[in-house]
Amino acid sequence: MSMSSSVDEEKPPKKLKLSSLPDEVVLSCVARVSRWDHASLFLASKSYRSLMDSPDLYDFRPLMGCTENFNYLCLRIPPDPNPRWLAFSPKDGNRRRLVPIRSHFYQPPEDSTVVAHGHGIYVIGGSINRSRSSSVLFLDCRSHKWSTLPAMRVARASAAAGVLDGKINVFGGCEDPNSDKWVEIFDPKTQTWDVLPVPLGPDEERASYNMMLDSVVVEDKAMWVEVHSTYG
Amino acid sequence: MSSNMIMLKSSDGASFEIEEAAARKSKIIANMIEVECVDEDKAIPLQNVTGNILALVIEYCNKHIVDDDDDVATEEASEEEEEAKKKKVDDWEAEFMNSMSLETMFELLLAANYLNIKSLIDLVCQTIANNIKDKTPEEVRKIFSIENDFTPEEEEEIRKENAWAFG
Repeated sequence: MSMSSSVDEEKPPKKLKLSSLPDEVVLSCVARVSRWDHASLFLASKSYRSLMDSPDLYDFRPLMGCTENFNYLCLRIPPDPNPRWLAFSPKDGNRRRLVPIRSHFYQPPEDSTVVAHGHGIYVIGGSINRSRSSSVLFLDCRSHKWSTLPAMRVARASAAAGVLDGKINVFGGCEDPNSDKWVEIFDPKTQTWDVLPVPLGPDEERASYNMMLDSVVVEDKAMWVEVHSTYG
Repeated sequence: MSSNMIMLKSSDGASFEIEEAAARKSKIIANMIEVECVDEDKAIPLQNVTGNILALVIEYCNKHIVDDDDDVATEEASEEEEEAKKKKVDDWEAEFMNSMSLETMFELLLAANYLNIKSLIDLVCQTIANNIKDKTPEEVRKIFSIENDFTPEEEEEIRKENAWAFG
C-alpha cells in the first residue's frame, strides 16, 4: 500500500533557519548587527559563539561599511592607582552611556603612550613608582580582552608614538637621550620590535629630559615636540 | 514600452513574465542574456527558487527598475527631489519586508544569493540584522529558533566576559 509515501507527504517541510544558509550570507547578516548586540548572539548557542568569534566577521564589516566607531577613555581617579578604561559610542543616541571595560592589572599608572591601530589599543611603556617601563599592553577592542605584547628593548615613559605604514613607531622617552635605540618600531603582523637608527648630526644633541610633549603623524612623516630640560 | 520580455520558470513549474531590464537586476540572468543562451520562446528555469519566492523577487526587481528609469529621466533633479525619491524607495522597501515572515526572508535571501541580486541581498540581510537589535540572548534564540547548548556555567562565563555589553 502507499502508507509510507503518504506519511512522507504529511511530514512538515524542514524549517529553514538562519544557520542553514550559506556561511557568507549568514556572515553578511550578523556583520550588520551592532557591537552592542553581539553579546546576545554570542550567548545564543555554541555555533553562534564561534561565528561571532571568527576573524572573518571583522574582515567583512569594513567591506560593507558596517564599522562602528567607539571612543575609549583611560582615566586614573585617585586614590585608586590603577587606570580605568571606559568606552562609549558617539553615534548611538539611545545608548549614550559610558561602559566600563575590564582594565589590565599591570598597566603602569602614569606616562604610558597610547596608540589606537587596527582592532585595538596599544599601551606603550609608562612609569611605575618613577621608574620607566618597557612593557607593552594591547586591548583588543573586539573582545575587550587584554594581552601582553613583547616588551620594547628600552624602557620609556612619555614617549611619542604614531602609526606609519601599518607599524607602531615609538620615539624617545628613554633614560638615555642619545640611546641608539631611541626609535623602536613594532610590526603588528610579526609581533616583533625593531630598532630604527636615527643618527644625530655632529652639533645635535637631544634634550636630556627626553620627554615628549606631543607627536603627530602626517602622511608619511612623524613629528614630535620634545620637552627641553632648560625650560622655565 | 518597447522593452523585451523574458520568461522565468520556478522550481515548482510556475512561469513569470518579466521585463528584460528588470531581470537584469540578477547578475546570473544578465549573464545568460549576454551569452545569448536565452531563447525568446523558452522560459529560463530557476531550479532553486519556488514560485512564491520568485514572485517576491520579481516584485522587487520591477519596483527598482522603475526607479532606475526615473533617475535617468530627471538627471538634474534637485537634492530635495532626490531625497524624496530615496525616501519613497525606503518606504516601499520597509513595507515590502514588513509583510514577510522571518522564514520567507531566509528563502528570499537564498534566492537573491543564488540569482546574485546584490541590493536585495543587502536589504534582506539588513532587515534580519535589525531583528536582533536590542534583543536579549533569550529573545534571539526564540526569534531564530536557536537551541541553547551552553551549560549554565558556560553561560555565566560568557556573560562575565561580555559584561560591558550587558550594562
